[in-house]
Amino acid sequence: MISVWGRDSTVADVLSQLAARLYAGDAKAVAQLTLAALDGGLAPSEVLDGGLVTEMDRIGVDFRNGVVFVPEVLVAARAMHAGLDILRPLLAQADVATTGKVVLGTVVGDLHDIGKKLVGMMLEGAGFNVVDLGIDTSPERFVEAVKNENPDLVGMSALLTTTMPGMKRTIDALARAGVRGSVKIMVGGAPVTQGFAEKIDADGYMRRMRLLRLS
Amino acid sequence: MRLTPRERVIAQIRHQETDYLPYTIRFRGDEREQLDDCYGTDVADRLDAYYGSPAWQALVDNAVQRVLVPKLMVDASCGSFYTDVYGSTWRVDRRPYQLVEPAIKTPSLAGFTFPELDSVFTADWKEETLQAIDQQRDHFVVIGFGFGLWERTWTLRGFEAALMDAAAEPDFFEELIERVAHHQTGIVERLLELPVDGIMFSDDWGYQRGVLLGPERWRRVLKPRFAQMYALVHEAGKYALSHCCGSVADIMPDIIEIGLDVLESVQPEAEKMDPYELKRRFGSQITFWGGLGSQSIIPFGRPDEIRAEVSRLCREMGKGGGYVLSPAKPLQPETPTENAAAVVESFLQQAGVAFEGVPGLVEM
Repeated sequence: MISVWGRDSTVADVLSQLAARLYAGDAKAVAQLTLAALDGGLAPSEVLDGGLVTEMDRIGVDFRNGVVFVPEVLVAARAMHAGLDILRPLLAQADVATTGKVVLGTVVGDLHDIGKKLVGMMLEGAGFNVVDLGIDTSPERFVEAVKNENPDLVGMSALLTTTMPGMKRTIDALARAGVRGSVKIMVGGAPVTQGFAEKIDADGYMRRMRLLRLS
Repeated sequence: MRLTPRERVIAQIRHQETDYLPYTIRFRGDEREQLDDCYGTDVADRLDAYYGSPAWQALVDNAVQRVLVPKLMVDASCGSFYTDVYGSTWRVDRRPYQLVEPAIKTPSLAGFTFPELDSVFTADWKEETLQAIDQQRDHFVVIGFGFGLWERTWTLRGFEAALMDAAAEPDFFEELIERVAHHQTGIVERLLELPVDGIMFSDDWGYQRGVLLGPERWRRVLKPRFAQMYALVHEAGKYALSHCCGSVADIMPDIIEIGLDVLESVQPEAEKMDPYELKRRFGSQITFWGGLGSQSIIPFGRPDEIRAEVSRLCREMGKGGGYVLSPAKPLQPETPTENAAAVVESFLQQAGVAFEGVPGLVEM
């Protein structure tokens, strides 16, 4: 039994409460419940997989199906981070493998931020380690990050047809630097299409959010 | 008798077919020359070279002419940062200009005041605006004030913060919306004193996949306030037009219910925003303005595809009136010159404008 807010709860109860508070976007409660679950003897990876990840997946599905909208996703992601911030150092200590590592950025010349951030939050929710390079990211910065971070995936965002060529320039720069083969490249953003992704030799594009696992 | 551009627009809004479709084409124009390295050269400049002179520009006669209230806008013409009259600071050396420091930093209105309308709508402003309107005689003139109710809310608060407020701080969110609505109602009242045909609202309710705040929240928070503002416009005997990006198909019946006369942009690439489907479902109840794809056919299609699509828009969207022909967005710098020429030429062709002696116009 685990004591939560002065009441004895089972492990299953704590995880389901954690999930419910995450879905509601209650960051404070998610932090408290994460600590309670750890105090109660759950391993950090159990709290992560059993509480945070599953529920972020559910948010993702509900978002895709039009049950919840961008505001709900943002506050749920903020709540997830409240739990993740507690778990992250413990997971590192325990040497728990992440699903994978991804470097994200909005391409050069483009200051759009939120779509790329949402993708990052969802990937974190799916257990990825996310390095967000931010907006207006030059091909050189992507190359540098790939060399330094050694990610599995590179995700690029462009919201302007004007800045979409920056994706191609970045892929070319990765190829010139000899690191193109070490990463899979995903592209996204309002005007981006499957056809464009294929044309620039990106590896992946998704029109809508999907659950993602590295094979 | 030949219609004026203004009469043509009004006939379309009344759902009467016209001799040809009123149209608008906007060129980037507002960008800064020193940004060309980053985004490519201006389309209009390239068309000047393509046609051998700027003479073609005089043939383009936009039926709807926009007048703006510069003091309420973000001035992105120089420098790296700009602080607007509401106190929010923007980065303006890249596109789109980005809010870097919002005026309202916590979910509280304590210490915040809206700018005095008298400081925005000065006597000088009125004189200049009246002159600008007078120069557009025979055209359908609209006046706009930039960021609308939702947009002004997020530009005061930050985009993510405002979205999170909507879910996590609903009382504050609605209070802020109410205050912005009150402020903007004052703006609309001032604009209605001018001899314009319509008020051009601008509020991006949609994103690529749907209604950003969700349809239910839009209905609860935004719809009643827009209903009041549109009613004011109609009481003054003018038309209510609105720019709105993205997908708003889910709230089209609501938009029609509160009396919007013209919906501008109609991005065909956004979810459920196929213009022909919108026309079929809602075409008798509202006027669409736009619909030629700025994220697809204009930058990435072929000139013959553009000509064919313009023909189809004229034929199907123009049927029974209720349409103003336009690209969904201004022509962007990445547009191939031949594609920009195809837009200009096909728009003029449907208007019966002869475009003789200009290269690339063999079929006219």
